[in-house]
Amino acid sequence: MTELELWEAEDADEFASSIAGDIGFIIDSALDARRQALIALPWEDFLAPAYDKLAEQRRDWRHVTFVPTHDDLVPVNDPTSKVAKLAKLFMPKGARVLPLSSENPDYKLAGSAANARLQDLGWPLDLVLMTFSDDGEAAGFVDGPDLAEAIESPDDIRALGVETPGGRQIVSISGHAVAKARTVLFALRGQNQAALEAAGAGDTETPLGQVLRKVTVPVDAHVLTD
Amino acid sequence: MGEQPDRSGRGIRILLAEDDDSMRAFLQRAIERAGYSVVAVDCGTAALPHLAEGDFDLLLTDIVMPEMDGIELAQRAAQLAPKMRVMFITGFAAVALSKNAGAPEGARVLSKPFHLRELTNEIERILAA
Repeated sequence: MTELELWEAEDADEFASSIAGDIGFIIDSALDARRQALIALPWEDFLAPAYDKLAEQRRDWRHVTFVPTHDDLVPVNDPTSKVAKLAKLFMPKGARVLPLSSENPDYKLAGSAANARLQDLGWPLDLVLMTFSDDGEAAGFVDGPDLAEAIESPDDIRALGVETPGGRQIVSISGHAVAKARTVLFALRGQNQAALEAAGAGDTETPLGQVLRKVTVPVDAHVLTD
Repeated sequence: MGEQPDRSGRGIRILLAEDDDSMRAFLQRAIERAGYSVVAVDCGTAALPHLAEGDFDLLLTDIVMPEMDGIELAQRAAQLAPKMRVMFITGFAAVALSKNAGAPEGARVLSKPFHLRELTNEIERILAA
């Protein structure tokens, strides 16, 4: 059972401030402790205002590294590239933004390459922020042929390639990366709150539920209730 | 955690000084959720009138702020409200702890915890000390 603490926001601005404040607090804590911060963020349009507020915060961003929690196998100039959106926001501040994905047509090889890149970083992640769909697919943990491998990844696997039943190929951080992260946050809309609570209680076998079972730290969840 | 009355029977009051809007709003919310009464300001100079007029149990302050930094604010707080405890919530811990930094005696530097519940635990500890 996962210890969940819900932070409900009644409007989009409060929601954005709450997420930005929480992430900022974690980044500063990591910088205080280790002079560096490693943060995994999903790119979702409803999180953009929160990321804008986060980017406005004053700190030495040069010691902050961002990676997307998951990304499609697309070039960085593709409009769907999540790392490109994170980079556009945080690189001008001085932060480092590392891609997970690459243009490798083989998603397994792309995942291996991402895993190799992440091996060079200080580990574990200081924060993983996650979102999930109505179907309970959380970040890159999608119901498909690679789900078990993604969630039950060995300790040395930090990222891997996964394929959805619909054939969409992505690169995602691994279940082990989430399980070992120093902090885990969720951001969600109110209609999905019950699904998160059920997953936190261990009452569901969705990818979300399976990932949450691996998490041992208390989890904060920011909920937009409007 | 519910409201924690102190010896005078009122709730514990915390003055929070943090210049970043989102951080300040989130910290205020978290500390209020823990049962404390919080007045939040965005800089040291804005905190001074509250120190002069208010009756706070704890000053929780960032160090790097415009106009008046947290160290100077803590020094002024020691003059205006000598019984009030002071806690810094920022990096530069070594600077703040240094004898030459000018932080008032008894001020405690909080090494930022990863989780806000640790922050509220730390507040509980410093208020109980």
